[in-house]
Amino acid sequence: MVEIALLILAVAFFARRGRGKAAAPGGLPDLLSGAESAGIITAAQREQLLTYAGTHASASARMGGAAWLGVFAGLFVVAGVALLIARNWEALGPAVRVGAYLVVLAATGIAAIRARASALALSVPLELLWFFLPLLGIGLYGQTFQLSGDSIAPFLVWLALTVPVAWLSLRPAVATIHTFAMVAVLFAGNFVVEPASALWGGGMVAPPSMLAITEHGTAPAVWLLSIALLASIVVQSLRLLPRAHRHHCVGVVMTWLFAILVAPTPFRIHHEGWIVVAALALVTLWIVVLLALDTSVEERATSLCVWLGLIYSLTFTWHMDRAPTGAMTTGGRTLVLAAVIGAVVGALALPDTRLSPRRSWAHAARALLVAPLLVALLYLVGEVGPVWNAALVMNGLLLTIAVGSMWHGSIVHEPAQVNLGVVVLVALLITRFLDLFGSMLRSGIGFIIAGLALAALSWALERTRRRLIAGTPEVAS
Amino acid sequence: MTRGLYAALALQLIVFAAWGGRLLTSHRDVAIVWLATEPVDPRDLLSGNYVALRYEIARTHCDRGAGADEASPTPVWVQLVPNGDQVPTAEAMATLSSAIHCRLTPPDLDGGAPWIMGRIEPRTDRITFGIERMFVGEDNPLRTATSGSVIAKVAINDTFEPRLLGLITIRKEDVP
Repeated sequence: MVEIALLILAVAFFARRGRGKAAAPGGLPDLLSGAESAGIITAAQREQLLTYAGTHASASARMGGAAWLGVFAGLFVVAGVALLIARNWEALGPAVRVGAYLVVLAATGIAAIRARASALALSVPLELLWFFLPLLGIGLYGQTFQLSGDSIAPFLVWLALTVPVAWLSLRPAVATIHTFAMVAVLFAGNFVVEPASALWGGGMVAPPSMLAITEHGTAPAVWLLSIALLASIVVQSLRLLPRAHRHHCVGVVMTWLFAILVAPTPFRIHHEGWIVVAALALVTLWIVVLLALDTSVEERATSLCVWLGLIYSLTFTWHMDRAPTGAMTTGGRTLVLAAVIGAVVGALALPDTRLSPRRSWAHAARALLVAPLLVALLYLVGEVGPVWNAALVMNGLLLTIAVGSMWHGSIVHEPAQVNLGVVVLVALLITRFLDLFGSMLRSGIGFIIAGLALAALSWALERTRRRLIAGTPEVAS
Repeated sequence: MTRGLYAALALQLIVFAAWGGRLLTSHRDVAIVWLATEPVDPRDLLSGNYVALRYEIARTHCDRGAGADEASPTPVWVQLVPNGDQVPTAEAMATLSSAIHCRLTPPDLDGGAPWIMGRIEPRTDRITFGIERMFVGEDNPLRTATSGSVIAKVAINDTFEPRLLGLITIRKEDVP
């Protein structure tokens, strides 16, 4: 009973807080309501403006501290309801549970619809509560009636039932969570094997999920459903997510393709060299697509970090003591080759302006974008020598990228590029320093010398960075 | 837009009301069988606390038929008869049932030995019946139970759909 009282108090607090905020002047919904009352706009126009603001206006897309508090309030209420049900489980009969659930769902849905134009602190928690209630309902029914079914099916049903909530919401909060949930369900359904099932081998209790992609004999329906879900993620991302995050879906597609290649699927590749080429081809293609679409810095940052991280990790292949080996599937090889061709052709076809305002720099950037992928082909030679050479070249490429990024950043007066170059350069220099001289760090003197060398490097780089950022920008040609 | 949201809410309510109504009524006054379980390692996954169950009747041999797609689940119907093994329960002596026959087409309702619907899982010979999990509350002593140490009380309705009603912990000396 204490929990119920606390829950009611919490709901009442947030409802009151939300009502108070809604009544306060200043918010777009209130402004439009006032305009409608004054006869400036019609009710239909008010509705259209709210819809437009929900999907386009950056101010609506960005949520402040109060809004995030509201988000967590909604999550807490959902968690509280779940805990209450669990605590009083045995005392409630099946009919009571079903009836109570339907009442709660109806009340929450109606409240969320009516409050959708209210302040964020009220409308967002209600929308989130409504959004999660169908999932809670499926779990409730499953536990009440002892339903043992597919582990992914309930999530797919939940996502399907809540599509309208995501698409018709005035704000991107629900759509963002819905899209993220779709991604999680796709990857969990396709690739996650239940640990217990894996341990038991053939003697597992739970069958594979309806989305499971396996090495031998995956039903066509599984592929169709997976691709349909992937397509839904792309469409929903492009239409509903905040403007600066709409193209993260490109990364999702590329990650899914890579997972298809390394997970036990009909496209699986075991060969380490081909895995390296596949990873570099897909991440290069990811960058090319984002550049072609002229996307935001936030969207490109992820792909750039993955690309740089991959090149950085390949510098360690200097330590490999044998040539890459492993089996290949025909499907996997075809997919990798298609990705390589797509990445190279795409990079060559990119307009110069997408890479740099200066033509010569654009050519250099294009060459640097494709170079790691071409160098990675050395991992397919079948001898260890070319692997070491590739690792050396990767070091050189990373150094060139770092210096080029700093230099270009100073020319176009872009501090982010200068900072990125400094970070890459520091990481590369420290790594190679420890790599080459790490074995000498066995005495106190060795540590002191190493520390002084790193301090000198830090001082020099920071000085260079400040000078580059403070430099006068040149007019783009 | 508001109409669309009300329509979405109505759809959700209809789905859950219809589903809930069916679940509440589909297993009233139907045949009850007691099934022996086999040992399975206990587990506690993120989905909650439940007893993972595996049944002896899941090993019933059932041919998928010529040309069947092994990558997809195959629906089967398994006939059960009391095997004479008795286990004391709080209600009465429970007589366990065993599988005697399996078929790939739905049987007729003839009032004889009950049939239970299941499916052969892809790429295995194992049959699942949708009663492999028994969810238990936080204070339920069954929370620490494991398959093989319990027998399952199962209701089977006219469409041969099983529902797990409960588990009875058996003592070692009662194991048939």
